[in-house]
Amino acid sequence: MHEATFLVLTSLAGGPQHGYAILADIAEMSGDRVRLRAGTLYTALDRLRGDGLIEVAKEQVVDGRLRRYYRLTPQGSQTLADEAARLRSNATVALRRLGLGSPELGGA
Amino acid sequence: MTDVQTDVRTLERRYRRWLAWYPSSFRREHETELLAVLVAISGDGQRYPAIGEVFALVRSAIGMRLRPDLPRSARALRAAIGLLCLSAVLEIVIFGVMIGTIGGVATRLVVTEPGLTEQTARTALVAHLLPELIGAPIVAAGWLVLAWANGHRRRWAPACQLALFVVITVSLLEGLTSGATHYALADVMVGVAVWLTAMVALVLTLRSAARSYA
Repeated sequence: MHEATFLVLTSLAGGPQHGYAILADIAEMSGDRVRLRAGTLYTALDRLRGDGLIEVAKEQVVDGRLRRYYRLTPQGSQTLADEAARLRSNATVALRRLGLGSPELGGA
Repeated sequence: MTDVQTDVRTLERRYRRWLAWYPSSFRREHETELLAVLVAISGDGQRYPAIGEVFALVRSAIGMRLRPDLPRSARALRAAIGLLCLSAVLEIVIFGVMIGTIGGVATRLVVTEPGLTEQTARTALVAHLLPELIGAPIVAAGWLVLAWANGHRRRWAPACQLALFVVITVSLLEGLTSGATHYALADVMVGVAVWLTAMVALVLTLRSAARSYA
């Protein structure tokens, strides 16, 4: 899974969000390391929706503009959980071998 | 209308032009909200699209047009598309092998055909191979077009794929019957690799097509 996809799903794991909020959330989560472009975000949202990992939660019109909120589907939650577990497992091994085991990651 | 509203309208209009790169289905679904986000992240008084955003829009749009528009469950057809892309790469390899082995093949011809000189053998070979040398890049492009067409479920794709497969089969048989295995074994080996790859791709495509009609 690409990092951008992972971060979009992670952003939606906190509850339904609209496009602009997802962009801001990803920048905040990554400490400004990842700043998705709007075109990249909507391409990812379109693909994730096609794959059944996210869905439209609600639509609002704010200041005459459409604002669409997205949320994870049960399949999306499961996919994110699987990917997070995989990343945690890999990180645990890497940190252990570096002698930098981190209790939060389950390493010693 | 205030200056701010004019700026926003101008910026929207300019971004909308770049959104035309996306497929119409994407624009129908996302154009309004994507424009709203592009305006929201723009600076005060900004009238021209940001270069970075434009680059991302164009790159995403091209990627979306090229990427297979298939569900994850369509594994066989996705595999066929991968094999068609591999066939295109192998066609280019054939082109390179033909160019690279002309000298060696000419030398072998001179040994077996005493009346020939190295130069006349080389000239005759280039003339003999010219259709294949011209055809290889065209066929490579054909495989890529078919990969795209299958990825977008074009109805004509399986039939055209079958036709192109027949063409490369005839070409391979012609090579085999003209003694190419003796003179140009490397060419034949890559040719067989393309044929096998294209055959598996064709089987997968036809099976997927048959299932979709069932």
